[in-house]
Amino acid sequence: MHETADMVLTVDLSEGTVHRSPLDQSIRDSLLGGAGAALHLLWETMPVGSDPLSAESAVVLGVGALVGTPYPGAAKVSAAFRSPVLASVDGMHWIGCSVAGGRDLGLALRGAGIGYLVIKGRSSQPVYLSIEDGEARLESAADLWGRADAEETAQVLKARYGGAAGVITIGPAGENGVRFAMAFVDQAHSLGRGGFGAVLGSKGLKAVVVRGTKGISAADPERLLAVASRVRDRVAAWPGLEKWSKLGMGAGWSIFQYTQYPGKWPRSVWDRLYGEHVRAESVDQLIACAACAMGCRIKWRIKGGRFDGEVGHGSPFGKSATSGQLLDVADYRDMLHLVTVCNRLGMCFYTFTRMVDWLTNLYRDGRLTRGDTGGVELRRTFDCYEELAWQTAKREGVGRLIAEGWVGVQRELGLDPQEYWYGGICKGTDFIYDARAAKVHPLMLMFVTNPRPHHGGGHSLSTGPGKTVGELIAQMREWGAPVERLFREAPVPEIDVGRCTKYVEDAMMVRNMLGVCSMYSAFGMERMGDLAEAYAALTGRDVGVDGLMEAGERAFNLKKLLNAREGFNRRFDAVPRLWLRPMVSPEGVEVCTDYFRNRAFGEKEFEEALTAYYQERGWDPDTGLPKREKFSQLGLTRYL
Amino acid sequence: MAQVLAVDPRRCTGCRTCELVCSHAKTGQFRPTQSAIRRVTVLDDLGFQPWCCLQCTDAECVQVCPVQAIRRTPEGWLEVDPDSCIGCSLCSLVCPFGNIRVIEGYATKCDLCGGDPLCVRWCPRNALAVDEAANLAEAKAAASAAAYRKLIADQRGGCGVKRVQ
Repeated sequence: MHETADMVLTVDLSEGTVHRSPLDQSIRDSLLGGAGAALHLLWETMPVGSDPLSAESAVVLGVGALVGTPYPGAAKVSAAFRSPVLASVDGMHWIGCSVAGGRDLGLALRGAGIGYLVIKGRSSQPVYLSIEDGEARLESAADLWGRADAEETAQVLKARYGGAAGVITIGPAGENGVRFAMAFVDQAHSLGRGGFGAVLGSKGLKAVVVRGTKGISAADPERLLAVASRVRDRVAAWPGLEKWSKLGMGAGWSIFQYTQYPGKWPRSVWDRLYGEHVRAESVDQLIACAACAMGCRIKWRIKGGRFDGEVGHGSPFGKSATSGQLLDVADYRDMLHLVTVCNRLGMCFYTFTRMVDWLTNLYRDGRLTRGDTGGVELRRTFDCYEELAWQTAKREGVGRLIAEGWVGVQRELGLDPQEYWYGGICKGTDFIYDARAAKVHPLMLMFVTNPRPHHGGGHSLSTGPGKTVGELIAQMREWGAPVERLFREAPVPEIDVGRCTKYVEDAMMVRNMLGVCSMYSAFGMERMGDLAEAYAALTGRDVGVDGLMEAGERAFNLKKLLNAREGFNRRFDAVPRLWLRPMVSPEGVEVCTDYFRNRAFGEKEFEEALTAYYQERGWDPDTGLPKREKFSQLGLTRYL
Repeated sequence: MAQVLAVDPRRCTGCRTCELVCSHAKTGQFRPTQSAIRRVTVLDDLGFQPWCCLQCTDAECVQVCPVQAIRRTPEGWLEVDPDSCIGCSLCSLVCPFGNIRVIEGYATKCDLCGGDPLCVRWCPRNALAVDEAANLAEAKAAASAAAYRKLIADQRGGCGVKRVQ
């Protein structure tokens, strides 16, 4: 690594000052980089209980340790921040660490010699932050603020700083403090559905643009290239690659139409309206993150319909198919347009469409009136949905209500978000999947146990259906997990989902510290041993698989501790009541079951799984919080 | 015939793997800004174009170099001799494609890695290939002719050529 790989750049927007300091080497050694060290810096920077949209709130970006090398999928930048999403009616806010890939941002930060970016304070005038070879400047964003959306801002800045400059941009939703506003990285990658865009907006920061010319040296470059080649060979041999090369993430439809089924239409109708043939006709090209051997994003171009020729970027198919069914939108092209609108406005498509589904249904049923909506009629038509997107981003009309999020509506109108019928909600955050369709595997339980109620790149083999217990055991064994305690093969195969979730979370944290994508692990193309070898080849520090997994556990515990000091405990890790009710669809009834669909998961099973999870973590099952011994064991006592 | 590095922008995902492995081979560091091949981003439509030296037959960089630092190898591609290069940037100024740049005092351009370029080997989408330009043209002619025949067959109406009686 070059000497400035661990450089921390701290920008105080209130003072207009920039400060550089190296990361403490003990932090680098114990938390590796990326998400881990970012959580440490957030701990040091942000006061307890601060308003996430205030000047004293801080965000920390961390570049994953392997970013800047050709290791497949090593492109991820993490963002640690306090979410403006209301986790409870009394105003709790969880702290999480979002992660995004990108073609240019990670490489540009490496090139600028910046490993971490701490942003605090609030600018009195709209600004953007430019970083060129480590020199940071605050530039006026007067020509962009209130004028350019997230996409246009990226275009303007890339034109100004070059196409290889890395950019983070926000749209009107972020400027206006929509609680589920996101930022966008390099135009095609979303960052922080828990309101990261709103936090940047509250600081008057429209964008970050980075370029730099430095390089990084590996301790053993030939070994690093060899392990990268090994993973790439597995990608090349993957039977799904041909379809993936045409559709990107859209290639997953055959799985998706089962695991992400919202239960309103027969699957045959859904397939006809949103299936692979409609995906194939809209893909213009694949878009990959830096060093990715697959490429999951696309540039799409709408063929025919009202939005003929419109171009968008991202990963639109899964989200548009599920929300299209929920909102009764038969033309997939309309939903692609709505994805573009939400991306440009800079807000989470999932949260927006599901809140709109909820509120328009309540309006139709008379439980919400014009008095509640400020006179706006909430019709279940596509035109109304699009109008609501604009109102939300601008906080106009009923958009003022939607912009406050699920618990905001609850506070204002007394409606309970737990009554919403798809996905599930925990700590004020809607899940993008529903366990009744997806079944209860570790990624699903993570929505509940993760302090940030999102999967956050926690994909593993068990995320996809249809694996044998032997395959799942092999992956967990390769992570060094105590598989004899986690699985039973006979008489019927069974996963102890609670205990397994701990290892899936720790492995997720390892990837987010190293900055590598979870897709390779989800398809079985990457092993933890590859990551350990790549990390050793880059840094000269051979910590092995056990060392990586322990660092993952350490960082996850630190994230938990950040939330514990805010007052979060087991009470907040509540399984959505929705998951305990059957989903009645035209094709029958879907209920929560275990991964192998052998036994039903009811309240008792979920409580047992949660208790097993806390036990496996070495936490107190009653409070759901880490015990002192765990902190000593992981070397985290400095945070007590 | 001289070999060229052919790029197919339709296959490029913009991943910059080519830049990472090229820069490592040339500088010993993963340093994409020093790569001889660059993934250019076309901003108005978010398209990606891998772009690098085309090994011109009548190369302006060769002609303009005051110290004859750019020479054609027996295999037909152009190489910069760093010992001769004085870093004057004239080659960079005259290259019609922007594919030769002076980096840290020396002209830097693609030398096809001696005939087996790393970027071609590492491109995950086979967007890059090395071949003689004539062969590449032949393959393209065959593909476009096949596409034309299919188009005509689908239209059933023939190709519009009238037979002269």
